[in-house]
Amino acid sequence: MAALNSDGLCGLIRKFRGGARLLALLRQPLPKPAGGPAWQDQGCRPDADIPGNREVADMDTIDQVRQVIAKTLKVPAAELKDDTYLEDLGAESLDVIEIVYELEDKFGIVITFKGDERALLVEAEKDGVKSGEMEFRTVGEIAQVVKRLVDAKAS
Amino acid sequence: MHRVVITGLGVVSPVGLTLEKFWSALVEAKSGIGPISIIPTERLTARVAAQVLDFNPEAHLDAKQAHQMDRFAQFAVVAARSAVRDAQLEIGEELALEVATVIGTGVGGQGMQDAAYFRLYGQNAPKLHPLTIPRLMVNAAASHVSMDLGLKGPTFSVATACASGTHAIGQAFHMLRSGQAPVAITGGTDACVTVGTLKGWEALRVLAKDTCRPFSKTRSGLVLGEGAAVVVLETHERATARGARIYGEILGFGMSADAGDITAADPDGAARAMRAALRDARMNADDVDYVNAHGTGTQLNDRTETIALHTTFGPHAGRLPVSSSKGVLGHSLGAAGALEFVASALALETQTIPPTANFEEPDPDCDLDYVPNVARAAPLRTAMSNSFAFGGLNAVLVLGKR
Repeated sequence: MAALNSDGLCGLIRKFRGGARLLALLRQPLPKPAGGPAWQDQGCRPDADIPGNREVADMDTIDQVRQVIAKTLKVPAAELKDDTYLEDLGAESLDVIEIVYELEDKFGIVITFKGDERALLVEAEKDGVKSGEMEFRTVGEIAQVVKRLVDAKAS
Repeated sequence: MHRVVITGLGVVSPVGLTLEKFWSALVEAKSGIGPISIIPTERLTARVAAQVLDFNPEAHLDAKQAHQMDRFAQFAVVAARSAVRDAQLEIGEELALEVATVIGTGVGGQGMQDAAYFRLYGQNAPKLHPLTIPRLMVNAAASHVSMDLGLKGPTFSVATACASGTHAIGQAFHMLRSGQAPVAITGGTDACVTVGTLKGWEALRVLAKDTCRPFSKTRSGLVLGEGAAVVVLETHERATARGARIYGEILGFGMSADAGDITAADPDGAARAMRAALRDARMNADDVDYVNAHGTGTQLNDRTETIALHTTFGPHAGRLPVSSSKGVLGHSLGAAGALEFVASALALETQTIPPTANFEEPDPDCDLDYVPNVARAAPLRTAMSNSFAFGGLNAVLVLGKR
């Protein structure tokens, strides 16, 4: 899983016939007038998996989480405070699921809803380390879920 | 029985997003077909398509809304907004409860599907994006049009491959005629220029490698296109009461199935659909002044359609101008019938027959007047728009101007 997210994926693509060419193609700037290839921003963004294109690695975990939320909900990151509720940012049914997806993808974690997903109670897991049940309602709570696992890994 | 009139037209086409650009390209036979640039082409053998190159979703939709949609739904929403604006239709809370939304699509969210499956099988990704299904589902276009305009009446999608747009408009027409709704927002959309779709069509060996030449002896196949057309239909009494501009009236709609070959069209099935439309319109064959043909540019379709036109119109076929818009627009599957319906409405409005583009040489098997390459001014009271889908599903609309 983690391997798929970084160098491992590029290696995998290279193994396929024409893979190197595909990678080179993906690295090219996307053509502007047509709004990019049809698969761009359709949930498949192979370029995001290429290490050079990743956001700065040493960015504070909490800032990174904030950016994921801001990008998914299409709101300015400055609007996000620790005590901002997702619903106050206009998050609808699928937005929460999309935030979970993006966080899982970015941090290589697995987030599971406990009970009804509207209760916004989750447990996260990374490499066998579990967060325990945590609230997932505000920007600060979401950041803590991720941070607990990232910190656990680091220590 | 209500009379049903056309009060608004909206297009997202390979030759422009406005009616002016759309119509002038059709009249000037200026083709929207060109080298494919919106997807990688190295694995394709046919590398031309009629793409909507000047479509920037974020110029029309807010970022979050655009993000929720595949390109085919984005096209439909933008075309629907244009049509409603063109009709100068105010949709208040009460009317919104009654407006019908019927949108045809042949293949739905192909861009999303292609991207998701590339991720799944090509990249071995363990999971897919949460918007995969909401973006690719065939009803997404109808749903997003209803959400965007706040339309809460009967809403559904129609999928009959290349006839989807025509079937959709026909269904909406019958709903208005029978009193099920006073207004309908209806049309078709497809964004099928994807590697997966093109490889599939390639395998059928019907794609032209250079361009689409309907009814010409030199024709070598169809060229895929993309786009959307949406129209506003209203009951005649409602449209006249509010003083709406009326492009024309839908007089009849006919459908049939070949119940034969899955891909090869049957002249009898096509002719039965045309006759059904004429019967529905209570018209005689020689009341038709112009036919906007299905005219895909494949050897088989154009020959078969010619036979069907002879069968339906008898001696009148020799005097009847017939043209195909696919040399300009390509074949945009579920959008094709709707775009061609708009072309037929504009033909009535401007009393001009749009020509068959890229016509090079007459074919003895196609012996009608195909209005080659040059538009023609003609007194037009009525027009017929044909769509014949893979799977043998035929749909024909008849329009009139009084």
